Amino acid sequence: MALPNWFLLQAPPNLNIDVKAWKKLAWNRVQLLEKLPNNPSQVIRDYFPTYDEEINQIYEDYRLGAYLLRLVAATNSRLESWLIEVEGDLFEKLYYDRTESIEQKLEIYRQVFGEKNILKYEEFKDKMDEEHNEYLAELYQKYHTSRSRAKGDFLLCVYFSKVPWMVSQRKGYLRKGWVVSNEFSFRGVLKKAFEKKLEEEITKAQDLLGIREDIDNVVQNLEQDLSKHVQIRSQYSGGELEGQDLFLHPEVFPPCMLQLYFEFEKTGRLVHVQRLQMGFFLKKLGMSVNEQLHFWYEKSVDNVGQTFSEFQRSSGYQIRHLYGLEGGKKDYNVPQCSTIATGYFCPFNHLAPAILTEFLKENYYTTKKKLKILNSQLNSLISVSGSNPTQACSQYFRLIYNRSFYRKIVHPLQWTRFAMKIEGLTLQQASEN
Amino acid sequence: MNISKRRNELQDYYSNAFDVNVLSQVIDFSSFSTREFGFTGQSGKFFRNISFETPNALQDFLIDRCPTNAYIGAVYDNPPSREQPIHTLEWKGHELVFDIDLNDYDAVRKHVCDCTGAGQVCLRCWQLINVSISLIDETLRRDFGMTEIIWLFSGRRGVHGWVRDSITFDLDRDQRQSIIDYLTVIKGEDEKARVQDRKQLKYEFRKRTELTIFKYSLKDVRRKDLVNLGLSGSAATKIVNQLKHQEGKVDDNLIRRFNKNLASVNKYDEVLRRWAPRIDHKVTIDLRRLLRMPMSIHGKTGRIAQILDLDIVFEFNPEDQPSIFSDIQIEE
Repeated sequence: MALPNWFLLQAPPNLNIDVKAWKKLAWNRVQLLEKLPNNPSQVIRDYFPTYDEEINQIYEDYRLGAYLLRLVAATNSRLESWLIEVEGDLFEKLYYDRTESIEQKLEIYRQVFGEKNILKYEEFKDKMDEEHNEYLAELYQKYHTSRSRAKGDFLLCVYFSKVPWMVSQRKGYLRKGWVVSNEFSFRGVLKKAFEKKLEEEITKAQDLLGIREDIDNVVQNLEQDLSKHVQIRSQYSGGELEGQDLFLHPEVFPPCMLQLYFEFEKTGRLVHVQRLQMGFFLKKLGMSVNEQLHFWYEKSVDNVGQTFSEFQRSSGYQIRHLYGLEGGKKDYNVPQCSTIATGYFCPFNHLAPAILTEFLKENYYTTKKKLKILNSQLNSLISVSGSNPTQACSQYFRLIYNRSFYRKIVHPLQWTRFAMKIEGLTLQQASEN
Repeated sequence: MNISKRRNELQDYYSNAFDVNVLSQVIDFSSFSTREFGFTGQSGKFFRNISFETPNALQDFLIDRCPTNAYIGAVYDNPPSREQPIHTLEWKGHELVFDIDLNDYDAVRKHVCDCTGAGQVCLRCWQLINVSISLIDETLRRDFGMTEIIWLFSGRRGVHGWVRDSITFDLDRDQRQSIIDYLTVIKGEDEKARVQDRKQLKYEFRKRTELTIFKYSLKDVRRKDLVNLGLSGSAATKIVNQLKHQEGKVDDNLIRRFNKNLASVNKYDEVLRRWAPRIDHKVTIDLRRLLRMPMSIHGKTGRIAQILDLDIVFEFNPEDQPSIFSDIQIEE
């Protein structure tokens, strides 16, 4: 096996370790990852010795620390994005600085892209088995006459399905499904592929959770500490409910957002202002810009025929705009109820009475008793909905939660905050779920 | 148009002439029961999320319901149905497909033939489709190493390509898009579409593209076409005479001469813009797309979506294809 010792994609063979010591190893890894952006070369020199009496132990400890972080990442999607990003950067740096031989490089490519998707140029040539090939002649001539050929560069063949970007850009020579090019030109896609592979490994790591209580405890413990400690680079804007996964709890959405959410789930389509309204709301519930990009991409029917990268380039602009990352770079708030009633979508104002009645009856209700109370009040509620939607909404809130003392609802986030309080849904619980 | 008469004609076709086993040339029967099918009913209503346990059940359905159009979709983890529509199921795979339609050439077709109006098709403008088939087929085989490629007449004004190689079955959108990008040498759809810089194309692909395009664009070319393209009168005459002398055969010499003439008047890009493949990329990268079922009937023309024999594909004329609808034959 020619893999360099710093390459830690596989799980450690043995997990018989004191959990306290294990946690410490994970923290060491966090420190290393945090120091990396400031002075990468120094970090590599300090942390990754090429010779040491205890070199095997050092790298084994790294493996254990990295693996515990993966277990933690498997329980928290934000920590997962952070870990993939920083581990990707570390991998890239180590690959540049600490991979000496061609055999080692080839082995890393095999690990990242899969054994059967990598060929050495000689193997590829044998496989082609053609007497005269102008194609290969051009490739060989270009490669060997290139003045800019870097030291240690070599010809490499990767199966086309693993490197779509190289195929799109015609970066390599394509022959019988193999993209042939010099190793340097594959480096950009290698990092991306490593990150993808790491994501798979994190998903795999989930299998270990829920088996051993001591591991579960240390993971939970570390997850809480890391959530506070790590500066996640995903871009949020301000907001009182920020940072929680409340968007996974539609039961605390106000009627306007719930109706839009259902409408979008059902039809895959919303009109522009409704998309804005929901986008602002989801942002304030703690959805990161990446999560929101995926949310709209996966559920919308208008992106049929678009790749995710195309979607990011086109519709992604609007989503990044919501977060103040494009255009005027303004961090928008969720509009308040009076604005929603006139310029956006408010079910009390915009739905026909019959449809509104049906919607109000179908959602939020958990007991027959509550439904009975609603039925008795429904007519008066519907009668005020057209003239004073905010009052109707507040009245509805009081009815479904059976609380008479709550103030008038004037903002969608206010509904969510009140509902959380009554449901006993604390911010902590919300993020755990 | 007599609906009940057409229904009878469809029923007659699906019970006597249609062999459901032909589909095995395009799709793998081992996952037949979890594959989605879609149809347009006699009322014109489109319905999808339908699956069949066996190919024979599909044929029975076709005979019984006589849909005006029949389509094949992707394979899922469970059989799609009205209760379990495809968006609730896990996508398992779809063959790599290509859709080439003459509609996409409307902006440049006027330079190629005398067809007027979008609905018209002639043998000369069908050469645009032939160029695409030839180039895509060869590139997929040589550059991508694919072997099981079937071309299908869509029943109206285009063709569909189906690649059955197992490696293509679970390609994701980005991977499918990358193949389209590789095959596409023009960007844009109108007359001013940008042509990819020659230097960016690898030698063999560039040579293949030039050879194929020149070969088909010179076939049956008229002097006035060449003059309109910008060639001098004498150069155009020489090419037409040489073609006549060679009994219409386009050889390497002629291609070289044409290439030289084009370069001298700076019209190389213009020829590529007119003749390069225009693939409807949305069809290729849409993983849940329904595509016309081979050997089914096109509801508007009554023509069969037949599998094309690549050896004689270039003699194929869509206008010569018979329609099973007797009223259409009378109109023609």
